[in-house]
Amino acid sequence: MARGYLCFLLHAHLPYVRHPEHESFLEESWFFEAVTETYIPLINAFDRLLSDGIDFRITVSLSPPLVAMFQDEFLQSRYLAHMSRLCELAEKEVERTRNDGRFHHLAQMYHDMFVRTVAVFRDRYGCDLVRAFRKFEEAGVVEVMTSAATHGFLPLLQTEPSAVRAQVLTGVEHHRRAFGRPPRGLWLPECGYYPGVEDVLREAGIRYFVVESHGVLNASVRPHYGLMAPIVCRNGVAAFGRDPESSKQVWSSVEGYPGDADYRDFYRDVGFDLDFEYVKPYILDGRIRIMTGIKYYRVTGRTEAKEPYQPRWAAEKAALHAGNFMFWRNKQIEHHAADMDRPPLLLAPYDAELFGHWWFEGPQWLELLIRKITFDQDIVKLMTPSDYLARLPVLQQATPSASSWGYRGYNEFWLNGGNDWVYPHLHRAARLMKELVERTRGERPDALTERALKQAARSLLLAQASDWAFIMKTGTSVQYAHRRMRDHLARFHYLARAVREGRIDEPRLRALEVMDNIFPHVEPAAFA
Amino acid sequence: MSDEVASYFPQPFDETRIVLMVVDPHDVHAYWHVRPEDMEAARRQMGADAAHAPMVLRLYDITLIDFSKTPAHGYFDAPVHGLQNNWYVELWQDSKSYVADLGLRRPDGSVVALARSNVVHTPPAHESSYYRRAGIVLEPDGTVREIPDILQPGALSPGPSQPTPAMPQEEVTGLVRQAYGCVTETGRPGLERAFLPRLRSAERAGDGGHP
Repeated sequence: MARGYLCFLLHAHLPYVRHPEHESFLEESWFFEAVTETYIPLINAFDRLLSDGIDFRITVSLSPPLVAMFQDEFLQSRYLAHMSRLCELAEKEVERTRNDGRFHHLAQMYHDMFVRTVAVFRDRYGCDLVRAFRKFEEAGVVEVMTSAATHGFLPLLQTEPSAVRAQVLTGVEHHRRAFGRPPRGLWLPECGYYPGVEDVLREAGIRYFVVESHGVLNASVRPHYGLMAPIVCRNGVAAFGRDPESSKQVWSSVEGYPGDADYRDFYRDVGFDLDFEYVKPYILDGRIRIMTGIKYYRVTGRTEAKEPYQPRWAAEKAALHAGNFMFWRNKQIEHHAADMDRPPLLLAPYDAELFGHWWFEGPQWLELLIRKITFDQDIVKLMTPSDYLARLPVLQQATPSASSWGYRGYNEFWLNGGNDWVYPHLHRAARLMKELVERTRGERPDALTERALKQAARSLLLAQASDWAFIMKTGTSVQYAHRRMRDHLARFHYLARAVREGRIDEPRLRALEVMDNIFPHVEPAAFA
Repeated sequence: MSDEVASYFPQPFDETRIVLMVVDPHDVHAYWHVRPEDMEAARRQMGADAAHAPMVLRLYDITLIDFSKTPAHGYFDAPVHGLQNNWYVELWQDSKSYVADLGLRRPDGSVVALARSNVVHTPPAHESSYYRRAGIVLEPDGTVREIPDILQPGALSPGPSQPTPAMPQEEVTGLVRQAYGCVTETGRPGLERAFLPRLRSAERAGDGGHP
């Protein structure tokens, strides 16, 4: 009989990056890399666990833009083309390293991995990874959550309630169409919570969300169980607080597992290391060196002199770290269980892209952790938030405090001198959208106006993505973020005027629909 | 996309407006735009005082009160400038509610307002002093039921009920106590420690427009 529960949650999100108007586009590789390095390795791990008959429960939040990219035929075919180039490079690498004992087996490893990746992507899941997660959900091993439509940072949209409502309702509806069932949980983008957002969540049928630790600890009523149980808002929507201890062991750049000397180094990549002419066909437009994903070195230590990667050492370290993680969760559970009238719950959420993309061995570590939890102990049991609420439906009533999991725990990362210029524009556009929808309410707009209105809604949602403000703050790809913000707002205002003046240029509207094709079923009424 | 569509950004701001946003428990951000004709009207209204009237952001502390019926606990001014700009205001205390007027200050201290903001609530920076174990039971059908004590789930309130929208008085008092450290006889918090704001210049005190 387990003495406590562990809710392991992976939040997967990428901004909607899809540029059919260009032959090739650097930022699309964010998606390609994450598919190869994170999503498919996680899917493979879950598939192996399933076929071994292991009973496990993991929570995965898939943001609507990511789901839309998974299902987008244009990106699917571009991904296959990308993978065929990568397989070709890996083949050349196998050849090039034939007489180099340090790297040959690694080149072979990447080659095999890429070939298998294509087989899983294309042959097993028909190029649509939503099918994989739907299968896991139906098999009862994964609970899939949704998020706000374009991952808008809700605390900074709250002055326009219609914007928050549209983000939530559009996200939930998109999930329902993709997965055939409504989501129970909604991942608040960046854990950005403010008191009152639960009203929209309730309206959308959402039962729970996740907040940063101090969102629960500083709640309106002191939490009886601290972080070891969720609290519930007055309207019955539950809030789960993040356990900082489990987070730190994985996340921390100093103490965290991913920085271990035996793990694969992220930065050394053949795209930068090898002769320009040799890598030319595999880099951006044959001109700009980029990461290819073929990386031969291990972290080694705080040194530039990196040593070759040793997969066996890394696998042993992953097993060691999985055991260590489980050990500390057991200790935590034992410690808290002694003081509680119910089993304590540890909620451990992570960015999914940490696993595999940054921390190459992350998916392997997670698979080992699940196996160890299943076979090597009986103190902690894996559980999803919905499992918990079904089992322990009596919760203390308290309203979380406004919070986020960003730098310093509030809104600063998305609201500072580097990105504050976006909010006057975003708020104004949301108000304008609301006016447009209200003006056309009651009357049945003609088909063309309806299309333009929907396209304006898409442009607005795409502008609201938290990613743009985030990127402006982090300082990489800033120009791209500025451009996306300006483009989507320009498209929105263009369409808004076309609707207002009843002068819609159909070919141009069609071009915009082809470019920004997210949310085919977007409902303008949600914006009023 | 063609240049014509791209030319739709930026759009000029065509209304006078001020918006507050919370940065963290001790910082709020304000942005505003003022139509030149509204500024002119305000100056005309001030008459002779207009020439030297400073532009200010007046923040009223309206924690737990209805500002339309009750005067603010207090206020303070941040000197600002520009028809279109933004500002970060650093605050001494967490867990407060503010509303701001953007306007011109007369020599007697009163403000001719150009616009009034939305209300913001800064979050608490520490745990609540209020504790109770009242809870909610989540029924399988999605309805909710209130109970007085989560440690005695047997002692359930009779019958199903919808959660009451109003915050119980103890929770309100807890919030006030947390915000002010004391609650006076009348329920109005003391003001001894309030309103010592430090102002911090915006990291980028530009024109408030896009880069």
